Amino acid sequence: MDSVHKEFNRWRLALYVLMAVAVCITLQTYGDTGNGHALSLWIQAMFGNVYTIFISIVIEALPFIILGVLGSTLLEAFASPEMIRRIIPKAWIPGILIAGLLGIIFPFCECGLVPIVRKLVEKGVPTPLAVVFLLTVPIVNPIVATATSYAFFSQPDMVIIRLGGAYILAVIVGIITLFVWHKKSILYNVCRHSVSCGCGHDHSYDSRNTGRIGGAIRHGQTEFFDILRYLMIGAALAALTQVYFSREWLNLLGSHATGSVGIMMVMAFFLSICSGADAFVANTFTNSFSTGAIAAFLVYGPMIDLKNLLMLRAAFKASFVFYLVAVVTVLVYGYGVFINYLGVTL
Amino acid sequence: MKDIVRLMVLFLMGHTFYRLLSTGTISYYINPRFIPLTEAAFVFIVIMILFSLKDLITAFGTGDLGSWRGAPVFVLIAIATTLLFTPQALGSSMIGQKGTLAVKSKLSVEKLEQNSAASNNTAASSGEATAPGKLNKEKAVQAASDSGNIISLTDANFIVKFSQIHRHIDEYRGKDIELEGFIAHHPLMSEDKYLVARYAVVCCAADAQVLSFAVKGKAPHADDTWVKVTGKLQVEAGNPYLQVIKMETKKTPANPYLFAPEGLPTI
Repeated sequence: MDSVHKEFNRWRLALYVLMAVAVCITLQTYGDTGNGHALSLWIQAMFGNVYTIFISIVIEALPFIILGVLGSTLLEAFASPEMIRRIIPKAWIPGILIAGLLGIIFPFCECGLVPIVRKLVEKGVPTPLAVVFLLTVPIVNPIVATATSYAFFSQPDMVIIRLGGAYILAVIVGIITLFVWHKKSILYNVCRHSVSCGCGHDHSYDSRNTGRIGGAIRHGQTEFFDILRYLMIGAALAALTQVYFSREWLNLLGSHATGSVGIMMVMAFFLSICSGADAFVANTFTNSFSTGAIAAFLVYGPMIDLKNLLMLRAAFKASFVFYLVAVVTVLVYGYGVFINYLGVTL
Repeated sequence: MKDIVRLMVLFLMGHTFYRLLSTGTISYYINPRFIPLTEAAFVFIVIMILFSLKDLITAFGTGDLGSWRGAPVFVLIAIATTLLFTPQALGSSMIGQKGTLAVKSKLSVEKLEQNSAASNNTAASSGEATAPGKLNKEKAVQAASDSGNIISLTDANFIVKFSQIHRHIDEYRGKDIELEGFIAHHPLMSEDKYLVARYAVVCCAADAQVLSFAVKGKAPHADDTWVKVTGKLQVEAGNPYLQVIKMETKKTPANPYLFAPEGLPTI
């Protein structure tokens, strides 16, 4: 880069910083209702409740997101697919059962999980075990258990319903996979992402020579902002729903034993909220939606959601991804309806 | 460019957290038991700001700003909008959208009484403690009526006494009840009544539930005005309401919510 270009970039950077400060001061001025601006009063009156609910979800979820990112960063630096492969037993049933519990010691978030699972399969871990690992790790782990117990503080049974349900369903998927996909390859061979990370992050600017720890910190930073994006979308939609969606309609939709489960699963798919934060969003629907619907939201989202689906497609064959989505969807839906059928209330 | 956008996001998040924590308005959003976690998150944000500043200084030195690709622009816009708002607690405008004590919980009133009695020294010292253990109805009425003939609902005992009263309406019919809350009108209520209401929060404002008493008559003040009302409990078609004996306006409390760490009982 020539010196003129460098100097130009420096001025550009300084200008951006100044512009950002100016915009912030302007927003803050209009945001202070004490100044009595008609615009600020209107904004507060129209969207004040949305803001209150939105920011309350973000504030409450953020510590758990940070915890998840820190755990994931440490694992990125110190754990390897080889280590995971050594831990999983060779025999099928013990292997499936143990694979479903590995999230307790490897609490990866679902964002960084797909490339790890791809690597596991490349290293020779059988597909059924890799599938169970993929489905349980984002849910059956201590960070998600803690976040769920905080979010559902007065309904501690939700932790068991969520983690227990996810484990059982993943084991069932693992056993089905044993019969359906055991001998077939599931890997998508076109290497469009770096094998080390298929999470969709852009690492072009992060690939600075900072060593293993530095690389892990950079990955953690990227993951933090990525999760934050989905949390913001989820919190905003939850807040808008609470404030503007008719309470009567919400109660009507949410009380239907089977329909409510489907609605919450669709919501989980599109919101794509990190499993460390989704419990706080789900809790906002507790009073409108059935327990089975809330459970389905909490189990389905971390297993299959929009961002996850794109990552799965980048790493695995389309037919396998279709199979996985179909099986998980049917099982989670059945689980949610079963909970409602049992009349479980929290 | 990614670094500068990230730094701005972190600055704005840090600013929001600092503003809420330093002014105490954080309790408009979350149960105070979460505050230590929020403080830890704030420290983490500050550390991340330092990391990002280092990256930015490096970028300034090299003159290499990098690309916009992967910059969290959406997050920046979302977090920047927080500057447009003055912190405020939920008020009367959300009354129709929030459930009225609909939190499903296995907790019994008796359990709440135990927790309340065990953890609440304020109520005990003021002579209106909720008796521990399983209260029978007579004891409940007696305990609730300790301060003369008026059953006083304070922040400390509001949820327990509110639950007792609504579970045993007949026992409390004709009693004088005193409470503080804000005036609100529920869209489904008849025009000859209004509410004196409080929000009870288990985790955060998103799960807030309304605890309210209907009051007969035309509201003497605008919605969201905080009042202390003393009224006689009456029942009409199975629904309780207060016949006002005395009402005075109050300053909006610093902490307008009732916090229910153990959850809310089902009535």
